[in-house]
Amino acid sequence: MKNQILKISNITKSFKSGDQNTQVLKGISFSIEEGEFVSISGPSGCGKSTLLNIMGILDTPDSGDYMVDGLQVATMNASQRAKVRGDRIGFVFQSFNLIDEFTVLENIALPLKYRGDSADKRRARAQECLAKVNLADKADLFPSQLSGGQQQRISIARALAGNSGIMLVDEPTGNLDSKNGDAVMALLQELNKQGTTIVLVTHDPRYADMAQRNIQLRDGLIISDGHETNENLVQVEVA
Amino acid sequence: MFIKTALATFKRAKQYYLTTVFTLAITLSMVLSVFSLVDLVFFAPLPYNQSESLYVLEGGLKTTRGYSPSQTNIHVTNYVRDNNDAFTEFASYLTWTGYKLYDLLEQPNLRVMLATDNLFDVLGVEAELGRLFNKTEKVGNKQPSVILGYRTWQTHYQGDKDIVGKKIQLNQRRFTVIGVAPDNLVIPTYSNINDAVWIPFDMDEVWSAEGCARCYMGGLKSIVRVKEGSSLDNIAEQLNSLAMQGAKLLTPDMLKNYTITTYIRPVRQVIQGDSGDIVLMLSVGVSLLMAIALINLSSMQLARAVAKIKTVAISFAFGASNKQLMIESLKHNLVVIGLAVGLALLITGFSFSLVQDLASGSISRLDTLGISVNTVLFSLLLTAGIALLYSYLELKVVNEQNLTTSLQSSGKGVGKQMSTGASHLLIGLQVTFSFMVLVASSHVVLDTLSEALRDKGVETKDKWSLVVDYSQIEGETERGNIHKSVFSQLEKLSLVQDVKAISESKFPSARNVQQTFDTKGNFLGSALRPRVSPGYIAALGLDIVGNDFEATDHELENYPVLINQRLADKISTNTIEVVGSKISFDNKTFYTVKGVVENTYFPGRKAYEYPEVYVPANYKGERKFSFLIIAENSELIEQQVREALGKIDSRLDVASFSSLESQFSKLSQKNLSAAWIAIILASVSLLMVCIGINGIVNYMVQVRRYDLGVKLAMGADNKRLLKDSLIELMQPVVMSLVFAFSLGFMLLGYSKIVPDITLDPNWLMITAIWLGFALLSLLVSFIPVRQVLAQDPIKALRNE
Repeated sequence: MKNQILKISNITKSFKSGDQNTQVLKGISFSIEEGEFVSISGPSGCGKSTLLNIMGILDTPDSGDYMVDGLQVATMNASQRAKVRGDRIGFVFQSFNLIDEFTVLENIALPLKYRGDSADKRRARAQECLAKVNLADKADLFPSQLSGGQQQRISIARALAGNSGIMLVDEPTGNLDSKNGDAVMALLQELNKQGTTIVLVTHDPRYADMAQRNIQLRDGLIISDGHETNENLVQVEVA
Repeated sequence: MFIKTALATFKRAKQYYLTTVFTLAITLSMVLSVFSLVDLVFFAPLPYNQSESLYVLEGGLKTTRGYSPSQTNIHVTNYVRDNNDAFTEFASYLTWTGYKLYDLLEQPNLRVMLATDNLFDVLGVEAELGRLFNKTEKVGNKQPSVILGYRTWQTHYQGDKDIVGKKIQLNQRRFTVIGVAPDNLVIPTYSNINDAVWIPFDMDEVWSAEGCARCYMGGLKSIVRVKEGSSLDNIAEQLNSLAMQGAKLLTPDMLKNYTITTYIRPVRQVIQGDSGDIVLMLSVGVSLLMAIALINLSSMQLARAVAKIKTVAISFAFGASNKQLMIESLKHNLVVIGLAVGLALLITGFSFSLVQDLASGSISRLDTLGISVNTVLFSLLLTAGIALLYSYLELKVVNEQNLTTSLQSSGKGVGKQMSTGASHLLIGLQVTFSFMVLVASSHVVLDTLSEALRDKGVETKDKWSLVVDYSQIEGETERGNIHKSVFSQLEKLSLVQDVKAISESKFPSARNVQQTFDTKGNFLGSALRPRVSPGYIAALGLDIVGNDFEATDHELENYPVLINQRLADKISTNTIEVVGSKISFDNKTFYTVKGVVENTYFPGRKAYEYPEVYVPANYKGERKFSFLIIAENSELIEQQVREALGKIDSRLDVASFSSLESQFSKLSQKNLSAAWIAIILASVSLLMVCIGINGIVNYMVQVRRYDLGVKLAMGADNKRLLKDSLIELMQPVVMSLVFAFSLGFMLLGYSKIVPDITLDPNWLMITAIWLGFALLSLLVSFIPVRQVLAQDPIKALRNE
């Protein structure tokens, strides 16, 4: 039995806009085991990015529990949350979110900087991750000098750099053409084969199906949560 | 590695770093200069032993018409010294004769201080080199010892370590150097004392206690050490009683018209003088300027923080904690601010000589002004404080609660923005402070320029003042004969058009002040009494109501006099009536007023504007005598004069030679300098506030570009949008101008109830500044709005 590394229990989240209170997540529960490749899909506005942000401790739920490695995130203080973000979770954003003033290598090394690694160690690890995404020759360039596909691969390398073991990926192909999108997805699959747990948010059913398990959201609720086991696909319908 | 990173960081935001560093450096240098003055005036310890028990003793003359402080008689002072039981130590000092240092080729003028043998013991100061006065220099011993002031030693003797024992020549006498005074020596009521030299109390070539039996002098001061536990009220009572007793015994004539007083003041209070008020005013002005600069830079910092939202958010997303980001930001800001402060300290160091030039005489101990430990500590505090402020501003825009919004921010107006309230507040504060600085400095400019440009009353063009020193010539008769030769030879010089004589230069020495009385014995005041040759008054372009002297007037026993308008006004408001009236110097012998002379004014030195009684010129063998030479403005005139005097007698010396224009210019120089400083302050504050308003307005417009773009795309009229935007943007400016005006009005009202403060605002100027400010703010707001509206709407919609 593999470890449950992420566990979501009855998470709700709403957003206020003027007088309007929109409930985006209405009680989401699921867990993710180590080494899984899970996709979360659904129509636009169903709450998938919100859910991923909560899982990345970039946002807080209104209610419900979220546990990382068995630890309750809600009981953590700011320093503990920062540590979890840096040590345990790597995030890949749709809009890449690379820092324009930093070189490619500096961008990748960012999580290691806040972990307190020495400059040499950071550099070495960043180069290693850069090699994994096949962009070793771009180390000293700036993000603005790269194509969209290359920027997204750098973003993936950054998420890898911390060796966190968990990668949360938010619409990685949203700003890419199909060729680059396929390349990024192939990279994610390769990383998962190497042992990284990946949670992917996507609206594209093609890419959603590339994961072992697909959780479908609609109107803030899980409508299906499919598992792929070694032998057969078990689909679980959630009322 | 650090330098490489620093250079790379600098290249990314050159404008930001240059603006921050240079704005802060300039403003901080002003702050640090003023702080150095504050430190000097209020905190720097006096270089004396147990200074809290040291007091300055002075005399004063009281009449029914008023009070002349600081008028002391040496014998009355000695009487007080010998008969009091309040003081454990008592020493005196003064300066009298003008000296030149004859050792040196250029024969520079030197201030020579006379001191009793125990002065330095009473003060508790040690010599820098050699020794200071002791019993060897006791009054009566007539020891030709001299102590060099520290700066005199450095400047004229290059800090010669072997100077002790060497001889120097002051005028015609030689003195032996016994020591060098310490570099931090200060003496109450005398500034720049490090430029002086000290000789024993009985060694002046003119002044002596015996020869000054009845004279009351402003320059004579005593330092006393008060017995522990003494009551100052009791001491005051005792002193006044002793002063009157002494005056009764020694100068009884004075008591007919004056009450003689003697009083003590703490040494620190005397040294501080008016400095405290001046320094406090400067502190307020510079603090306001600093506040404007900080607000300006803070708004720039806020805008920069908004642009960096995403960067900070990404760092948070990848594991940075608040503490880590704060430390990172603080390190960066400490380097930037530290650089600015370092530069400011450098500028401050260079500015001290300018401060010393401008403020000598107004602020004491300036010759000891330097960058003290307190100033360095203060600058470190400033560095830390400003760096903390910047780091706080940088990080306040992003926190864990708004990470997701911040991650979506492009920093170009979408996402987190500086709130309207914050922007308006920043504009408002800058405008308020700047308005106040502008109003205050405009008044200073107006006052100082009005004073500097005040009419002198005399014609100074092509006029020169010559003071001839006859002191090397023994005997009144010989001096008289030589004087006649001098006069006639000067008249014959090719460049000279005319020569007139006056016993002392037009710039008065306070030594020759005489009491004057009217025919009823009423005391009119103390007046200068120069002796002038006929035509002197007319040569200066001064009008006379009545008649000038005739050539033979000086031969009369009961000669006539001319008085100036200042004195005439004390006799009668009708000047015509004054002509023909009589005045006296001793209430015994009366002299007829032949004419009333127009006043001479001394812009920049009102203290020189005395009542004057002109007496017909008659050279009586004085050591020094002055001449007014009317000659073309030529570089050769001085050379001609010196050669002529040299030919007449080699013992003659030129004590001074200068044009009247330059003499008057020197007086008003400080006012002009103060005016320039005020202009610079006002300009800097105005420039900073314009940049600040423009920056904030620019930012506010940029974040509204999208809205403006939508409105333009929907067909809104450019003019209408411009008007609406300007009205919105000008609101904080106008409100803060109204607030600033109200605040100023309230402060003015408050000042009316404080007796020591007299403020006389120029309302026309204040209104003009108010309107000008509003128009300028409108202009700097107009430009960024106009720029956005001139663009293609689609660019604004895309936020390009």
